[in-house]
Amino acid sequence: MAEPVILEKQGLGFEFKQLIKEPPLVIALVVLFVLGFIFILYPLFKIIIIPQSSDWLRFFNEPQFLRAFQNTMFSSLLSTTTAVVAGFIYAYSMNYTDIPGKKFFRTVVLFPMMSPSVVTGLAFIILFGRRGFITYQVLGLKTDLYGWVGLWIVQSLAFFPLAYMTISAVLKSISPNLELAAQNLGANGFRLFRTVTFKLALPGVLSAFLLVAINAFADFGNPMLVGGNYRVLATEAYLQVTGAWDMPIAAVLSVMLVIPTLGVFLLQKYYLDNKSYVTVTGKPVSGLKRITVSPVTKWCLFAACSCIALLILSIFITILCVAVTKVFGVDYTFTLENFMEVFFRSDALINSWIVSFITAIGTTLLGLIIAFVVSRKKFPGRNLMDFGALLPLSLPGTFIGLALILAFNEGPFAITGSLAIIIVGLVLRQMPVGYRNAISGFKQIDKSIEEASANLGANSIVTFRRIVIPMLKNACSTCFVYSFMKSMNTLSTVIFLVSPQWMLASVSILNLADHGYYGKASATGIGMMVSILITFAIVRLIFKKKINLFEL
Amino acid sequence: MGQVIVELKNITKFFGASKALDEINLQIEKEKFITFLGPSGCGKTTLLRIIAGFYEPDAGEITINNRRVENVPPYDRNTAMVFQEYALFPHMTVYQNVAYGLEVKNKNKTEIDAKVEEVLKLMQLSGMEKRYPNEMSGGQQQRVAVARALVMDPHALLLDEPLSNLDAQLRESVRVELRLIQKKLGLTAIYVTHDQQEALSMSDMIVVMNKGVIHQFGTPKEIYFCPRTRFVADFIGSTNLVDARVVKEDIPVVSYHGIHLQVKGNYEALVDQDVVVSIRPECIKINKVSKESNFNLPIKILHSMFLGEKVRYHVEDSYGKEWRVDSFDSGEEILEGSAYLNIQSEKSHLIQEQ
Ligand SMILES: Nc1ncnc2c1ncn2[C@@H]1O[C@H](COP(=O)(O)OP(=O)(O)O)[C@@H](O)[C@H]1O
Ligand SMILES: [Mg+2]
Repeated sequence: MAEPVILEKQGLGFEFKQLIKEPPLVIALVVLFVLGFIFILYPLFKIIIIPQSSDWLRFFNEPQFLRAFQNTMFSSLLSTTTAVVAGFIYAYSMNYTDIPGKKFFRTVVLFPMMSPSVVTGLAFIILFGRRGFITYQVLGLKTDLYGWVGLWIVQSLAFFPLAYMTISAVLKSISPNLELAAQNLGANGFRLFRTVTFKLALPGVLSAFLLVAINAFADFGNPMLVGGNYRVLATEAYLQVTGAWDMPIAAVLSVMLVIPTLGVFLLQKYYLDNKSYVTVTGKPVSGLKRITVSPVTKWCLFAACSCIALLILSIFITILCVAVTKVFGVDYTFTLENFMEVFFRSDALINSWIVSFITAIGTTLLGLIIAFVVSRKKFPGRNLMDFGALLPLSLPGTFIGLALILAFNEGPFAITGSLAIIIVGLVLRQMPVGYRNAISGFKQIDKSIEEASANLGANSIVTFRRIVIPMLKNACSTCFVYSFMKSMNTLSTVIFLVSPQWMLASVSILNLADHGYYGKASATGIGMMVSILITFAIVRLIFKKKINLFEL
Repeated sequence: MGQVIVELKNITKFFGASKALDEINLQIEKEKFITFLGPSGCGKTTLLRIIAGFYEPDAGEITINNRRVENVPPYDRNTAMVFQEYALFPHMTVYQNVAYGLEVKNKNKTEIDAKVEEVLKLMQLSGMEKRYPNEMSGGQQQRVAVARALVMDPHALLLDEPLSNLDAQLRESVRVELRLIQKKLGLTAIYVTHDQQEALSMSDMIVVMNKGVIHQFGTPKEIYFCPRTRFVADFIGSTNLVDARVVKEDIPVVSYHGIHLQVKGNYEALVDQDVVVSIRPECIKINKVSKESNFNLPIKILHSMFLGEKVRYHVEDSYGKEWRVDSFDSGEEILEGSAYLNIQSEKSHLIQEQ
């Protein structure tokens, strides 16, 4: 008689059986999958099926569309390269030298992070536009820098902080022991840099490059402001919608925009992530000075950093000056009129605040819940959920916005024009960051703590509420602040979603600048930065913890 | 036999292709202190976690308190566990940690207060209610972990190497304390350890495991003096394993190169069967002169170590086999050169070859 063969229990059926034991968890999962289906899958499906084959053909036959594609590629690769090179120099100076004023340099980088990226474009128009302060007032030129040159400068500046932050994190995580060992073997100066530091940092830098590139491809505000006739995919799609109400071609253009970003995303997720040399030990080696440059190099780096910092500062000084004068360039009388208008006579800032607050809460909670089930539970479709939660990272804001209005214009979920659709768009856009943040939080918590909770009689929902959330409080506050800030500042995601009832501050900057109301536009920009700072302060009071933006 | 509280039938568990547990059968009686003993990686934790419900067995049945639980999630089993790293909730005070399980069960406040206070007193933690885990020493944290499990009044208290993070001295005293509390409360405890001293000193019954298989289930004395398998004999204490041949069946007598020795057997041995006999070093006497006895073997002393309460000899017989012999008359002179081994017959055991 043959013994019955015993096999390991595994596979879908088994996972399903395990789930059924815990009905509240099943309900949570069903809700998550339904949400994912409605707000990710369905809009994606819509944006792909709406264009007819003739619309796809138009993309290849009408030169303006192909040109928009080429422009996008050219300008974003150019600005990405510039931003990454500048970011590397800046990050290297901060981590490998003892140049004076590091604290100042580090603070300056935070300004662009905390303001909408169109502020850079706005300052640029004010200084170098057709009636620009420098081009027209000072130099008396009749020309302007609209077009790819302007876009290059503005985007390089706008994406520099992102490049710097990412590369700095990479450099920090290189174990100084390796460099010490190399120094010990006689490698020095440029040779050390070339053979060790740069080699080790390269995969990380490449990652940073791709990250910045995704953002540059998708940038909408700056091309809109300073691109002039130089159109990129995002602006072309927008103009097709607003000018000609031509949804199908806008959809085609948006899909074309997704192709490179999605490619980069997949490359990063499935290839680069596994190839990084950087060993994350979790414990930064302290007490080690890694000063590896000669005095000459040091002062050259200092000069470079100073230039970058001054450029950034000049943006904000310009904005501030414009905001507090009657008509900058003509009438320099001091006035608070612009601020009165922005703070008290317009809803945009308040709306932005409300929208961002709700988004930040939603993003934090959703990221936490998804991270909890993905990292701690076994269920069918787990990898799909992981993918779905990260996917929006690769979707440009304009693409998300367009997909949402196409999907929710009519039918059972007609929410176009409402507050809800703006929040859906923003939560979608920000969720990957919250999710990744929470995942890394879970990696730091020993699984046995949650097991202890189950062991003492708590089901998954109770464990989540009473153990997981309190333990991840810090990760949550960081995530909250970050998504709040991003939601305040984003333009591309909301450009298709705002309505006259729900006008947002970032869009209003664009409109005001378009109509030449530079004073009010600048005041709005400053108002946004102020409200972000106030919110930071409140969160800090509540959580009694310093918020470290460098963590993200 | 007392009432069985935990029963395992044919439990098998795979991790991928490797079998972590192979057809485990076990009956654990109420109010007993049971220890799973075995080398690291033998499947002790896995078995304990299967009882707690963190893993589901691939085959077999588990009954806890007369209820089949294979499909019952961990939070519904009432098998409170003390984790190796304690797994205290870092954001909760001692009081909150201990009260957590009762709160989750929606017990009323006065009942919770009373129970927590009682348990904290029992674990000598009174006055520390408001401390956080990171404000306590390792020993204190361990007490909190035990208190948190005790307060649940579990069907079986599960402990996974709870003492491994304590220093040696503390370990000794906690051992005694744990055992006293278990007896006092009439708890069923299932204790996992790889430390044979710990197992022998604390347990009512020991389960010796290796590579996912139970080798022996018995009292500490049975395990020590009547090891059933070569593995058990080797793993617990040190022993001399002697290849011999059976010459008499009813009261087994074996022959080692013609020298006869009466042994105890826990299985039927047939005449002319090759067997292994386990003889503990302390069951052998070493003498300078030949004595009339059951077993009298001439040997050469290779090496001796003075260990305080005893002298350990390494000796070799004329067949090339090395023996270990402990002599507790450490006041006497230490022998050298040639001598004779005498073995008391009732302390030698046949073991099953595996
Ligand atoms: N979660 C797991 N996944 C895969 N293999 C495991 C897992 N847990 C334990 N094992 C394997 O199962 C065997 C038994 O492990 P364990 O029960 O932890 O041993 P012990 O507690 O006796 O040291 C080991 O070989 C171990 O590598
Ligand atoms: Mg173990």
